[in-house]
Amino acid sequence: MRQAWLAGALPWVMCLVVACNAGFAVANQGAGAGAPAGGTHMTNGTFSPAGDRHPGRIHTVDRANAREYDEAAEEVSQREAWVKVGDTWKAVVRVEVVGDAGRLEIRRFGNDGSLLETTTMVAPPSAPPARPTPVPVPTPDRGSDD
Amino acid sequence: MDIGQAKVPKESGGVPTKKTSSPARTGNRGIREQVRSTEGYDAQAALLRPPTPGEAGPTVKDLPAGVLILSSDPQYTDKQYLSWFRDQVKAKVACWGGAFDPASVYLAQKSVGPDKQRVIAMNWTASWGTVPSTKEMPPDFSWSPIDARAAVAGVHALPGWAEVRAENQGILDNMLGGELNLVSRAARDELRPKFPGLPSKPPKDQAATLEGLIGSQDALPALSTEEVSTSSVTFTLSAPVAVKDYEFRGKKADAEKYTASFSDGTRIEIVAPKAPEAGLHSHSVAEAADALANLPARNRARVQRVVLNVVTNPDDPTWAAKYHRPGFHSYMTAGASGEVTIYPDAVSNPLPDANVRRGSMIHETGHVWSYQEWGTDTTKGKWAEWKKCMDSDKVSVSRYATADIAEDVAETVRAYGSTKGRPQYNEYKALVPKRWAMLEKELQ
Repeated sequence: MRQAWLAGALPWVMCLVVACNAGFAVANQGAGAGAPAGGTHMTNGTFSPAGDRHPGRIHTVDRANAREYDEAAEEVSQREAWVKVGDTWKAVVRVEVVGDAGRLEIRRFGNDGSLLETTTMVAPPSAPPARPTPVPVPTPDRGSDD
Repeated sequence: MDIGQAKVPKESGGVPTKKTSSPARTGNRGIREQVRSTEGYDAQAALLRPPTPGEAGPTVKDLPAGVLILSSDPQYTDKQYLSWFRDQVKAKVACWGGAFDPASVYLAQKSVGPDKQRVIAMNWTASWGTVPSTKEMPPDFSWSPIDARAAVAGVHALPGWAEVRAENQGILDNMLGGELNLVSRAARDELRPKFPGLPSKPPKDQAATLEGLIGSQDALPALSTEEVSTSSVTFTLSAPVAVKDYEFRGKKADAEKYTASFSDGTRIEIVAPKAPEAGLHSHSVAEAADALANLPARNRARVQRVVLNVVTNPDDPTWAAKYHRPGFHSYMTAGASGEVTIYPDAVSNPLPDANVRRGSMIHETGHVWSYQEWGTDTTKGKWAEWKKCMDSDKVSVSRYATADIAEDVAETVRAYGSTKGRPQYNEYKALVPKRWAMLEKELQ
């Protein structure tokens, strides 16, 4: 009788364990050792799409907004924390941001200090910028025609 | 009679005033007919005679010293536009304290090979300083060569000029006196509204105002956007090769791969989506190759592949929010692997023009080149050498260049690559001599 109960309950218990494990994995976004590679649910920066673990911190020097701060890789998206260089994923550990009202440049550096990539962002189009010296158009001298 | 021997007509008040027909221009023939119909034609026959085919005469490069061509556009080389040109020049020299004689601007003709071309010419006035080396004014009617020489003469005439430190006098001469470059234009535009008040100030204050231009962000253009028009190489494009499910940034899509072969032997792959995404447009493969052709050779050597991405940068929303730039979108990414990605934009937005496309690629690949060539520590080696050059030059090529040393290098590389082969090149060489010398060594 007892064996029969166990046999009947076992599949449900197994399902519960599997479900709990899956939930834990999603909740921790692969934070444990041996995180699966290429998991599409792993959207934070702890691991690269290839499964490499990030060194942990990303230091940002944001000169465009006069601030400097650190973020944990798990606080940012995977795209922010990793850059593909050739066939290899490289962890971003430093970001430098410069810019003005019309342009922003984001330079991202790897663990060895090397520049991984630099991106230029531009402002949305607006009215044509005022030229410092608007192009004049010659006009005829009406006075001399009288 | 050509320009050099031409009599200068009387100022506009003395010009015959017979009414002409509509000012609408109909080309050279129309102008001639119109000029002939005025009483002024006979009086100025020597100047306004129709071109005589086959007649010998000096070519443009033989232009007499002290004569500038204000315009050779047939639409405007007519008596009725003379007063407009006179007003323009007067405004330029008067703001620097120069006196203007209307009679110095007149209609003439110049010889171009066997042909004659009607022009609006001007005799240079000695009190405006040295004669510009640009003999034919840029077609944008900015009169920047005249403005440059008059500005230098104007500041030299101030008693405070003698109080300006000798090394700064040279810098100011180059800042204000550059005839065509954008840095000099910005410097003059910054000083112009202040200049009329300077003569009444003590010499020390005059000197302080002038020296204040050096290192002032307000005296710089926002970006180094000199026209990029001197491609040193030509290119051919291969037939496309179809690629299934290419991994673009943010989306897999079918692609076409081209190979751009440049006349210097460089070969660069260009990847484009087989079909554009709905609502987006991007540069063409030929435009991407054109931008590559306009790179300095050292920059081009760093590029392995250009990807015309199928979608906008998926990081755009995050970065726009994070860095407080709402609505900003990525235009170009240059990566350490030698890949340059150009992103599409909404079809409702115009694509950047050729100059922005070429200049941005020089700038971005300038970053890749400098970090790979000089290393990542921007306080050591060639970076430290560059910093010394910056300190010595004192002037930057743009406001953006002053953001940090990496931007200074990228913006200066952009100015270098943009102006090579044009008169502006030597003007920058005078403006930022130490950095230019370093680039000439590094990028040759």
